[in-house]
Formats: sequence, structure tokens, C-alpha cells
Amino acid sequence: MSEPDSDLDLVARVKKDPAAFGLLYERYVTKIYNYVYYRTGNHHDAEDLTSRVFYRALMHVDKYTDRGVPFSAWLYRIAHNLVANWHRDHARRPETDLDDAVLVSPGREMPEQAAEANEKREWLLAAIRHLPGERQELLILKFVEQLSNAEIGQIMSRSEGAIKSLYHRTLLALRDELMGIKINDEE
Amino acid sequence: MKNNASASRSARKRATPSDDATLEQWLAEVLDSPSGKRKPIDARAKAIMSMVDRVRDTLVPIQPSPHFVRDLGYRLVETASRGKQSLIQRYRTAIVIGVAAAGSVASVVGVTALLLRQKNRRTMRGV
Repeated sequence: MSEPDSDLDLVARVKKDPAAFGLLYERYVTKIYNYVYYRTGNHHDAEDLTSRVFYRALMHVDKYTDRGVPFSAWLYRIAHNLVANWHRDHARRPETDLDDAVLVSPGREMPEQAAEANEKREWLLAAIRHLPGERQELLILKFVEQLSNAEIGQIMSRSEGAIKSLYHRTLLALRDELMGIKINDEE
Repeated sequence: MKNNASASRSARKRATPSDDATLEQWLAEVLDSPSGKRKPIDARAKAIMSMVDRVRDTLVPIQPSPHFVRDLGYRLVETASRGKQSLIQRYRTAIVIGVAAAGSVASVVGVTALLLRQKNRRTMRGV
């Protein structure tokens, strides 16, 4: 069995034949969709922004060269910029909760247990969404995309050590955020 | 009530800065190590580890709608193919002129080479 083409090989192919962009798209569409979905909190905006990410990538792929930034990191950076613009545009609008899809329990829980589990997830997601953007981004890249600290560093333009440190501070901040929500709920 | 809550939170934050530093140090040492080595130093460390597990269970990958993926893929490939065609159309004149110019240059070089060769032969015969 032959090894799959590397991203760089595919980018080189796209430069000769733009229609080959479909292969890069297939490789990354789910990852980018997940990233955008968890940053925006709803499927509608996730689909819209994912489309824009890939259209922008298609328009600029001929200018992409690997200067220490892998293609995947380049793609995530496009997504990051579009999500940042989206948040700027929506700053005055009330936050939307994550769609039910994520909150539905995958296990075979009883309705009451499922409801309780969903409530806990909702609570945790609300706390995550209260964190600064870069901390949310870090958690999504680490847990949803399951990237290493080094890979996250390439996307966020930071060293591996800086990402590690940011992760630890994020966990402490999340703990404080959860306690804050708990205190507010008890009032 | 809100004031009480925020006061209790700030009091907790004020009371434990060195604890957080210790906790951060501990996280740095154990978080990326194999799970067997993750022995929490105290109840607070244990709570952080349990929170990490809950985050892992909550932030799970999801699948976009297959219709969306198919449709966007189709539109992207179509746009990419159209882009290639328009690129050829845009540069068609330049390509024609370029090929014609290259042809002219080749002809001039060829004729010059022929003339030089004939001249050389005549010179040789003269000698």
C-alpha cells in the first residue's frame, strides 16, 4: 500500500492543477469544522465560516510556502482570523449556546442521568466560553483536535514551552471560572 | 449576595497565590506524563485532574453534515477549475505573442548561423 501524499506534495499538485485542492479539502474539512464549531457554538456559523476558510485557502494556496509553518497550521490560522472577525462582529449580540448535538450524551444513560450529564456538560462549556479567546482555542486544539503542544505552538505562533505554560494557567482559570459559575448559581 | 460571592472568590484568590504556583508546578510535572504517574498532591490537584477528564469528555470531535461537506467540496473544485480556465484565457494573448516572439528569435538565430557557416566555408575554400 502506498503512503498518502504529504500536505506539501498536495500543495505542489494544487499549484499545477487547482482542482486537486479537493484532496486537501477532504483531509481537513472535519478538523476545521470542529475548530470553528466549538469557537462559534452553532452549526450554521460553523458551516458558513468553514466555507470561507476553504475559499480563502483556495485563493491564496499558490502563495503558500512551508517556512516552518505546516499547511495545517496555515489553515488553522486562516480559521482563527475569520473566527476573530466573527467574534468582533457578534460582540454586541448575546452569546448562543452550543447546539444540542454536543450536549446529547453518547452513552446509554437513563433520561434523568442523561439530563444531569447534559447539564454538567453545558455548565462546563459555559465556563470554557467565558475564558479569553486564546485559552478557548488552546483547549479546542488540545482536546477536540488532539494536537500536541508543538503543533499548537505552530498554529498559535508560540513556543512549545509557552503553550504548556498557557495550558496550565488555562486549567487554573477554568477551575476558577467553574467555581464562579457555581457560586452565582447558588445565589 | 453577588457582592458576597465575588468577595469570597477574591478572598480565595488572595489567600492561595502560592498554592496556585505549587499547583501549576505540579501540573507542569505530571500532566504530560503517563496516567500511572499522576498522583495528585492534594484534594485541589485531584479536582483539577477530574476537571481535565471532564473537559476531555465534553470537548469531543463532531461530524459536519455529509450534505454540507459534499456540497462545499463540489463548489470548491468547480471554482478551482474555473479559476484555471480563466487564468489560461487571461494569458492567452500573452502566450500567443510569447510563442511568436520565440519563433522569430529562433528563425533569426537559425538564419544567422546558416550565413556564418556559409561564410566560413567560403573562407576555407579561398585558403
